[in-house]
Amino acid sequence: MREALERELQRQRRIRRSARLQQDLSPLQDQAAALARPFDASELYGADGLPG
Amino acid sequence: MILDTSAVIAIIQREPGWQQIRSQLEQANLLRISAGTLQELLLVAHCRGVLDVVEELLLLLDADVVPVDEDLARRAGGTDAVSACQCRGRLLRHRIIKGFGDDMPANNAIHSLLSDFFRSWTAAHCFELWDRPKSDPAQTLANTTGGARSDSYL
Repeated sequence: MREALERELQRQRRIRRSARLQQDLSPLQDQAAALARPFDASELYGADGLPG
Repeated sequence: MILDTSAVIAIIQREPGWQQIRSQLEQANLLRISAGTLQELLLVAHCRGVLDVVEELLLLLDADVVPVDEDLARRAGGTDAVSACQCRGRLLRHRIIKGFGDDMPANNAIHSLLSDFFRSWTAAHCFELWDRPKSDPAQTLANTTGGARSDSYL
């Protein structure tokens, strides 16, 4: 019984997640594109190994 | 399915392969993220200037956050954990989410979480060094050479 309830809960969460992704992901991606700044991990350290 | 930092960043910034990741997310019955990965993700998102957007995406995804405790951290010292990290590295290179189905042996999922723990620790260490004032190069060098370097996933 408990396992069945758990499965149903996860199914409902999956359906909700899918619907939200379809509705809200694209605007979030647009927002990120406008806000994102370049970040290169290799810039963390200079040639001497010190934080740049 | 266990969510990875690079996968979330790939989705939010429309990096190559993001549609495939989205499709996997929509199909996953169970979505999890380790607390270590969550920390790493928020650090990376902050550095990229997309922290608020990533927070919104996380709300939308509704993943279960799995804690990483001392017991898991100590078990990470074994050789199994090393191979898990190597496996994880391959996954990162391909920028995918590894789908751990319900039938996957539990220890494999644990190994994945362990490697997340290592990565999150080294991420925190990197940023601690990064924020250190440049006026103290000797101390910075000592910490840099004494600490783990982990920038491959950022």
